[in-house]
Amino acid sequence: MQVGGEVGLGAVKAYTTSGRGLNVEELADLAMRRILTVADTAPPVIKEQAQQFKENIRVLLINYMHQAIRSDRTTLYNNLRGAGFKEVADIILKI
Amino acid sequence: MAITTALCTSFKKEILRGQHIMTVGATVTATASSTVNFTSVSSTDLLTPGMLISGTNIAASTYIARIVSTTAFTASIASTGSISGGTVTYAGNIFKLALFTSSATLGASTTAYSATNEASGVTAGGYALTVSASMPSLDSTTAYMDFTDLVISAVTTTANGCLIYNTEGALNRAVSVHAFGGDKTSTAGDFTVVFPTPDGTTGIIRIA
Repeated sequence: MQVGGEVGLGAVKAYTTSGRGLNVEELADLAMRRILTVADTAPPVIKEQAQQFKENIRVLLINYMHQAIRSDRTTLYNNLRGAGFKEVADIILKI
Repeated sequence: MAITTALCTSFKKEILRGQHIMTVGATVTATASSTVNFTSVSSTDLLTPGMLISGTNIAASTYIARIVSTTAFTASIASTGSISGGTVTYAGNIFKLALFTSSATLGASTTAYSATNEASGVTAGGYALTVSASMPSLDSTTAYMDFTDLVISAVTTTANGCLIYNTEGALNRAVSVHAFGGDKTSTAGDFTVVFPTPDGTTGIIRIA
């Protein structure tokens, strides 16, 4: 006799980039999958609100990730400059 | 030669034997004084034999030998000194993800990691996965597991699929095989392995 029960396996996907790393928009999309999911079966009003909320969070994430990059470059600039690599430091700041 | 998405058959038996500890690490408090007997444990709910533990006055490579009660366990090695309500950190097994080329033969019958036809340009043996917070978790009556997405940065490689395996005891027991649906190439870029949405219907490993 079998009473329910099943072992399942989810689908893994691979995304690649060439000549660059993931950009903030791509990272935000990856993060959003984990922050909020909206069921297809959700009532339309709830679904719409959830989608809007999701988009707002995505924009917020993108803004903060851009700021994180800028802040990290400022730190790198100062570290490189402090170590005597002024020219490299200047290049970092201009990227 | 092919990579076929599958939960490894051997893994199904092994989870019933308790040979895979899939959990995010955390801490409990406990008391012990130069003994293997840890008492006054804040909770043994999430502990299981085989878990590595660490903390002040806990020797390296000490693991939980037996759960004695809801507030006590025995360790494999006696504490090296007094622990009085001290923090004990526990951890599950370390799982890795290795990338393979289309020349590999991987699927339900895969029982362990092997370097044969592993993708070039990446770390041999693969990369340690991070168990997501609160895992394993429940979605209604379905238990599910999740790992955080793996980003392999600044790499040049081509992979057709991957194997997730358990490094415990250097046995490298296979967990699951995942085909990418074709060759995926990264040239001086990021190779990202994205895990499914963690819930009861799509999670990477689910028991309904």
